[in-house]
Amino acid sequence: MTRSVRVVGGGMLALCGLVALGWLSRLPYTTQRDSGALVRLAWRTRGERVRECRHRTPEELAKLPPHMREDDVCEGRVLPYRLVVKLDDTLEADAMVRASGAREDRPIYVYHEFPLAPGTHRVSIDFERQGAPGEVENEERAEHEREETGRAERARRAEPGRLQLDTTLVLSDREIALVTYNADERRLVIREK
Amino acid sequence: MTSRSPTRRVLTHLDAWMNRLYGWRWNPLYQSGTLVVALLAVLLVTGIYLLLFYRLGLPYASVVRITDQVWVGRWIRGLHRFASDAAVVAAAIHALRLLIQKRSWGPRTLAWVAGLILLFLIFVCGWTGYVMVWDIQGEVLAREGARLLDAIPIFSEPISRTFVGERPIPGAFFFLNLFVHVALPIGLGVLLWIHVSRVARPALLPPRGLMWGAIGLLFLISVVWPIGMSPPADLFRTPGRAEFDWFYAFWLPVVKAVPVWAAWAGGGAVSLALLLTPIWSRPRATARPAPSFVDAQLCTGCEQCYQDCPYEAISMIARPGRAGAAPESDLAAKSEFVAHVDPSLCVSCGICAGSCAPMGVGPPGRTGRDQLSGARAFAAEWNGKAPAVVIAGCTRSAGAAHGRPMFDGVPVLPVNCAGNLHTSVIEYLLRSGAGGVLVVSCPPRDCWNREGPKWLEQRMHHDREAELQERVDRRRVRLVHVAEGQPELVASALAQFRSEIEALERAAAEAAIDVMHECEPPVTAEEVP
Repeated sequence: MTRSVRVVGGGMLALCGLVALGWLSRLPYTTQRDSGALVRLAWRTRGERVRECRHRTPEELAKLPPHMREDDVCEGRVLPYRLVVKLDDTLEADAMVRASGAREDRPIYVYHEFPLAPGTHRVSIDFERQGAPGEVENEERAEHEREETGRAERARRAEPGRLQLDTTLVLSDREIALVTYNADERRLVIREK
Repeated sequence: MTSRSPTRRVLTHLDAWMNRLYGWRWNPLYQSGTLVVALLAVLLVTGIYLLLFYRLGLPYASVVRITDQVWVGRWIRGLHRFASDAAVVAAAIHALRLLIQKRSWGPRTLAWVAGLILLFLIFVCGWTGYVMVWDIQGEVLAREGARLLDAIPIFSEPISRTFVGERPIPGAFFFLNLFVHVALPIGLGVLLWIHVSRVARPALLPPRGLMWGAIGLLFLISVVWPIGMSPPADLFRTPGRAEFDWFYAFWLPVVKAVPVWAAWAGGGAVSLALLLTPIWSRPRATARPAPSFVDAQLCTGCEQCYQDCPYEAISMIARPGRAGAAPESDLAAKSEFVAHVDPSLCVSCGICAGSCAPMGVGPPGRTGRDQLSGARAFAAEWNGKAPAVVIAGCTRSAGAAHGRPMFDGVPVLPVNCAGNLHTSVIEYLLRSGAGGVLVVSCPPRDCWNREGPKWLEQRMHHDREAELQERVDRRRVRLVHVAEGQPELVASALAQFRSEIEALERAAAEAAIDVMHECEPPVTAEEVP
């Protein structure tokens, strides 16, 4: 291979590599449909916290170290919600939303996205707390606990057991309508840019 | 003929073509590892400039401001971006080369694993860098990152909530992102140190010409084809179509198309397979070359093997038993220190065998003494008719690749590495009647054992221990560096060397003529009529 061929060939190859580098560093890509809108459900709620208590048996107590022999064992959790979403009267989601955390004792987070064509759409959302207080094994004790601390009562006042939204949306191309919880108004609201 | 894997054959051809275009000294494929370091240095310098103008409170606007600096900021931002892209390419090539060449197991395991983590950190650095811009690409990368992280049940609150539009993006997010982007290069430095910690004299930078050439090309594209601005991130608009950097976002189409658990499972499987490369890619136990050993009786404690070992596998230790030995004993007469090979660090390159004048160290079957035995058997095959030229070739060079016994009618003595070849073998071949010895090594930057050709060249021509003796006619030995895929270069070097040897033989034959005997006796003055 002559020197001139090497110089020209090497230069061309370097330039090709450079162009490929520049091209691949800014190649257009469609992450979602070119045309389309989105309804995004995103909110956080502390939910209704309940405690489930029971008495330990004498055998159980005997197995524990002396300093850990509490008569009662209690576990707290947040009641789940049922989320039903209808778009244009079509059922899009019907799911139980459980609290986060391994023991389901952390807040509840809702995050769903529903693609829609641009235009006018009827959106219906129902977010209802599940699990009646009767499910709690030792309701009296749990109720007493709540009254004592007042925290759950405050939570109950702050967040209704049922959130509903039934509205009509007009969405333009690529627009996202956010459905979220407004703590001041204690209801679901639509938030747009 | 030894078989080569298809990937190895492809790599051989690629190397050969790049050598033809750029020469082995500037072959970027050989320099892929050092190019990464040079590009990281470019990233550091350009990054410091960009950091001066970046504003946490106005991420997008501040990058727009930088890009609007036509004379400085725009090309510096472009250079920062293109250097990061080129670093990923170079790192991937470097890893692929070592994988194909099966240089990723045994003592090289630490370098392999550290290199993989380095590559991963470069990715994370790039990822956070794009999020810093907070354009559409940054938003998509941030969202996908959050989606993946939310699958790990360790966060008190889903990270994805940050990007739903429920509230403005907190400044803490951009601060954390910037912190990771700036802090990771420190980790890169530490990992780079670990990456090369088991090699002696690591080559960290490519040849100056190649380095500045590469940086110059990246500068050129930054100026000629500058990076623009994508539309800003908008939490209330779907991203639609936007420009993405595929060196950092290549995984997006796959990850977006599958559930999060599948993305984690796929990514985890690929990562695990790469991390376990040192296990699955290593040869079977019976096929693994044995590490070097030291014959303490022959070791003079000269430290040459200790200095030459490219993997710092040899140390000098106090000679066992010498401290308490009687003054008149043989042991007391020996050196205070003796070489010691750490088998866990030894790659069995045999370079120590070439460095040892008394031939007291080397891998089993490849010490200087073993090589001389092999050379004797090799010469015996000539059946008394010594060839004009013989080739002593590294098996990874074009001289002795594929286990060929002859090259253009010239006998080939294969050696595992040019640095393994003991200079006494060269002398022995000449003494056995060979007119010349052509030593063919692989190109130094592609030496599988890092420093074989370098040390052999110094032993042949610069009196490095174990040096080729002064009495050997240097015109009859030649060292050439030829990659496996370029046998035509060996052929031309051989032809030229052969003609030079023939000229030497002719000259020697002419010098051997007794002129006094061949010519008429001189006429004395008295005999003149």
